[in-house]
Amino acid sequence: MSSSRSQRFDELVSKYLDSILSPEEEAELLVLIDKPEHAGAFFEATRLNAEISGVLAEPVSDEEMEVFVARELGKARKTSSRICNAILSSLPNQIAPRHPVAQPLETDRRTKLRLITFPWLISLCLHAAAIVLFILNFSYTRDAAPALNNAPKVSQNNIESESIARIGSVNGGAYTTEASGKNQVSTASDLSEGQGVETIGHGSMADITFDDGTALTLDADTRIQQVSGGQPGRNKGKRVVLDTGTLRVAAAKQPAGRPMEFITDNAKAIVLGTRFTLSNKSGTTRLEVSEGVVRLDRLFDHASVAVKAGEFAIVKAGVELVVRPLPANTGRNFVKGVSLYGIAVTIEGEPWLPYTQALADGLSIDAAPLPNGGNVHKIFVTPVPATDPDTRKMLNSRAYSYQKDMTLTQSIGNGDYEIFLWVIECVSSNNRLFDVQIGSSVWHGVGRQNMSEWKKYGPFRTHVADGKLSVNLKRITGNPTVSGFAIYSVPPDAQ
Amino acid sequence: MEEQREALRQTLAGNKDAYGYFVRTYHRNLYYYVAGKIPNECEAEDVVQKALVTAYCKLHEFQPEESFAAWLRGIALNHCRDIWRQHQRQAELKERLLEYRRAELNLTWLAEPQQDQDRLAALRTCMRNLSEDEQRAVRLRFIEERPLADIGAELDKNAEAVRQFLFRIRTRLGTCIKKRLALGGAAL
Repeated sequence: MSSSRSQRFDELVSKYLDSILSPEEEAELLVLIDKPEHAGAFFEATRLNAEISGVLAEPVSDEEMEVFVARELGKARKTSSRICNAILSSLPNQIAPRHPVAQPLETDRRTKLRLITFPWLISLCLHAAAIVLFILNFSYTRDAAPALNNAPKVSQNNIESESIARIGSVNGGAYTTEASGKNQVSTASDLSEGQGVETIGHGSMADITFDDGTALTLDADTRIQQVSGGQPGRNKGKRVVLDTGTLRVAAAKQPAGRPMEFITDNAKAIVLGTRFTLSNKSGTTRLEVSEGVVRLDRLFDHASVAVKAGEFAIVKAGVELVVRPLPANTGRNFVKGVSLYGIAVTIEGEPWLPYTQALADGLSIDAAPLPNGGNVHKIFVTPVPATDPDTRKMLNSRAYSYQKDMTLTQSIGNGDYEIFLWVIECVSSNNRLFDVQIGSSVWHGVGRQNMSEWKKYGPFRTHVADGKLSVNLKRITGNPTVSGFAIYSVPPDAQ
Repeated sequence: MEEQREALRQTLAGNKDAYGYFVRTYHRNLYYYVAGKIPNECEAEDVVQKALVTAYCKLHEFQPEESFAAWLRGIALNHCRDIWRQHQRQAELKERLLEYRRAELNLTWLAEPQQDQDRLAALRTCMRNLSEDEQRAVRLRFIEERPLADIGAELDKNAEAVRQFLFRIRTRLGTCIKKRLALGGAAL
């Protein structure tokens, strides 16, 4: 086998294993594996791939497997041999079989976190967590570093003494931050070169105004760092690092050649004078422009787009960087989206929280678990109609209640809200039916769907007066289920 | 061993709970055995479940002096063949020639004796020896099943570089397994 042919074979196999083989390459590989030596190598490579997946996956627990086997034995009773029948007839139906074998079962056997078993994997996770903490603690992320490293070096004394902006009104927990720690701020205090500002808690906010009139408003739970008033001598404009949260910006016209920069961990927005909103949540940077033009650079590959008034763009791994028109103003503001038992995703352009973060953020679920435990799990269904990868991910995890009602409760500020629910059918067509009760309102006939069909239900409008938003899924038939939900605040007069 | 004999006796005598001993004792090892042969982990889990049910129904055929694990693996192997035949049929229907060929190769090689348990033990050891970056890439690809571009964003590489990185990891693991098996065991 010549070296170049061998290299090509390796490349094709590698692409096959990573599912990026083109039809032409597939045909090429097919010809190559006609040769016995290639056939063997192909078998070895695919086998190793399966083995790697296998050792990383964790089979269900002993107890769960006992239940599954008992369940299957219950089904086998009808069709098995005489001798088998003799044995099976003495077995109880520990769980009465309810679904055909081939369909995804109402079990949580695939819900196990596969990370928890192997020591090296735990170590890996700890390392990953350490890396994440490192990144969070130091806003100089890998991607942002090149841009930030160009910033002029200013002595610490200068940084502390030079006021570049004024913190106007503040509400709730608002702090200035710097390397040495953070200090609570009150209205009308100065912001020095290099400092940051953080708002913490529901309803918190802070206004910052630069000398040229450029105004920033930090929404609740927002952190900006390394704020710079610019270095005219070095042709550097103002700069703000948005670590997390949402920032509303009304930028005055910036000096020629010195645009203002807003940097997140994966993007950079460059402005000359405009109004826009920039958010950075769960790895998603979203830019909405209401006036003027902003250039948005993706730091990863330096792709960039110009976002004009009435448009928005998103920077997120795996999401195409394109400019889209802003949806018509419905008076509705996105508050939160949660992928139940899922990871962080971007749904309809909004960053949704992963399940673990949602739980830490005031979500609770009251539901009846299956007899073998659990009321959240992953499923493996190709949603109908077809949808984008993030929505698909979100739909492929869910919360459910075993033959009982389910209540999702979310801590939230008092006010008026609209709620949307995403539901997918993963067992069989018309398997379930439930009502959705929010406050005193009830919506009937939710969940009656074909197999693999998903639906977005809502908006369900409600008013919250006790700091808690409760969504009750009241069972009629089957098990109530929901894959994700989104909450929008609406003005009272919108109802 | 005494415990197993007793579980076998009780199961055959109709004790409804006694078969749980076999499920608890053997399903994990069986899963790892099957996972190396079946590409989809959910299918692998189903094969394990089916094998345990089949074993229950054929328990009267089991000879106590034999290895229950080996007997169970034989049953599982037949279910693996069923899965590969199913893959082959589906591939044929969809005219996916490469998948058809892969199923054919697997059906051929399933008949060959393999050192599965040693291989898996060696693989585990080899995977522990991967660097932090390599383990991260493996986690993103095999556990989180992220696309290459996504992994690239995490690792500060482009998709092609990630593909090559994963290829090198696979090659290293394959070489490492061979070396360990040649040296006589995973523990070396």
